[in-house]
Amino acid sequence: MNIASENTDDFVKKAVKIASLEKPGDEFISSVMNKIEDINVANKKLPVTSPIISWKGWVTIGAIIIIIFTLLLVFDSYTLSFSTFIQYLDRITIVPFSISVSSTFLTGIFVFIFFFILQISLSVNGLKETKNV
Amino acid sequence: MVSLDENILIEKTLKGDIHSFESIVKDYNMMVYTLAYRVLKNKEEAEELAQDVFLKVYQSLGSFNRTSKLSTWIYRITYNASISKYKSHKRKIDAIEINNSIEFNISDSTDTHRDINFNEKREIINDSLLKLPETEKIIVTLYYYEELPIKEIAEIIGITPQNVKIKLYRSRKKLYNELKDKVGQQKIDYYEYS
Repeated sequence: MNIASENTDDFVKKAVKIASLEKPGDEFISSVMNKIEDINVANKKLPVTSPIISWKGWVTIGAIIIIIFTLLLVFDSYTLSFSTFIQYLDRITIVPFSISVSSTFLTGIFVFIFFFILQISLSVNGLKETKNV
Repeated sequence: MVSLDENILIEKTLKGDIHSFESIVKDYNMMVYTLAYRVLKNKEEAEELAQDVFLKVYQSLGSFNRTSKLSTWIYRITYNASISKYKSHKRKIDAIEINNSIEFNISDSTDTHRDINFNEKREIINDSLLKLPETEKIIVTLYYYEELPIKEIAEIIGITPQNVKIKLYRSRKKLYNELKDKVGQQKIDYYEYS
């Protein structure tokens, strides 16, 4: 930087220092802090929640149902089908009491156990997420 | 890199201590407001924007990666917000600027030969600063007032250090030509050391 340029630089520096900084209103800081407190209160009042069954969960359940119905339609009773499964259940006997149970009853129990486990696991996940919030 | 003190303030803020954030606001409120005002040329809008900047800083503090200084990050948010708002209100601001410029020139022509006091001098310099293009105002303020290095200013503005140097050279020349007759060298020195 040459002498003329240095003088210009020095002059402008002094001028900008004289111009100094602008001062916001007296209430500026308290106003910012009030808004921040409002944000914190709003965040505490409205915890972020998500549905127990996510959209992926619904897609999976939908896919399972569609697959089951497709299998039922495609396979007849003489091939590997849902009815084969029913016939297998018909042969089950609860040994200690020698009680025969119907296939419908057993199917109901299996479906109940499946959905019970599904619901418990989803509820536990939901509770964990709520705690994290 | 964030300083140790600032790192502590950030950590405390993230843990929910809003008084720590108040310290950050106290440290930077004048610079943030000044940068916003020099771009927007409107006190109310500048104050509103400065508030929004601090709210954004507070909400985004968790995502601040701390590889740059806290001031660099805050000034970058301020610059981007100011330029964005300026562009959205450009027509309106241009109209105000023309009116102010006319008033300034009229009053200035009568004051040329009389001894001007400090406040008048400050006003003249500020008016000259406001006449610079938006990015140049920010560069001049950060370089000459805040004394930030060129590299850091380049990071804030989002241009290369070479471009910062070019803009700085242009704005320095413009300011010097504008101010040398209105505010003489001797008077600048007098107020500098008084």
